[in-house]
Amino acid sequence: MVMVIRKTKNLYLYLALACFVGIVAIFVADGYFGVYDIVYVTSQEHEQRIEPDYWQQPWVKEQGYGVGTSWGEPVYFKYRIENRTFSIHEDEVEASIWRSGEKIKQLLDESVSVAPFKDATVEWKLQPEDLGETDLGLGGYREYTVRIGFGDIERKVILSYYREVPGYPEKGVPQSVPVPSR
Amino acid sequence: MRIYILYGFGILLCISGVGYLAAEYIKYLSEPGKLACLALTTAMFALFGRYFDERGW
Repeated sequence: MVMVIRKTKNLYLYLALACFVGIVAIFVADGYFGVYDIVYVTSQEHEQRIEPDYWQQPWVKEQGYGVGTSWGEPVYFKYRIENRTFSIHEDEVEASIWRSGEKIKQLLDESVSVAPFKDATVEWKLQPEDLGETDLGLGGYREYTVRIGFGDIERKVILSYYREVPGYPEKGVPQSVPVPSR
Repeated sequence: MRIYILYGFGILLCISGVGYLAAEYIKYLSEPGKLACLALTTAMFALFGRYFDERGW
């Protein structure tokens, strides 16, 4: 009897604690459920994985993700979509290359359908000839923007091309200089 | 008396810290998630109030 009275007395406390647990559970579930995308960029044998959290930083929305590569090298892209919802997610994946606000070429335009709690991956390659230039010019450095779109989501990858500078010429053994006699 | 001032200062720091973290985390919540959190927070404070009221505070 005493136990029942005490339980009833603390009922509101337990309910309040249950609400707190519910708030924490909402944070966890909200972070898990949704449609997420991961961008993989491979240049010069280095694969870089760009997680969806990265794009939520305030400065990234303006600047995008920077990748440096050598002029004349192909760049490989992989776009993975994870559907953590209870319905099928279907949308267009678009990728295009831009410079100075002008679209140079459409690299990809593909419809993708992702089943609930499954993922889908789209791959494409950016060839040097897709850039529309044959030479880097005098500066030896140029930037391009690859825009990846999937529904309302847009990701920007800034590709910085630079020219491979030849190494220093090999130095030969210094020739012996005759020592002046006193 | 001084110890109570320290307690009050500590409690204020805790509340402001939790408030700051909640404000940061809530940015990443979806709209239905924010609404559900708001409802649960309101219920939590109401139930805590009822509990302390019953205890005679």
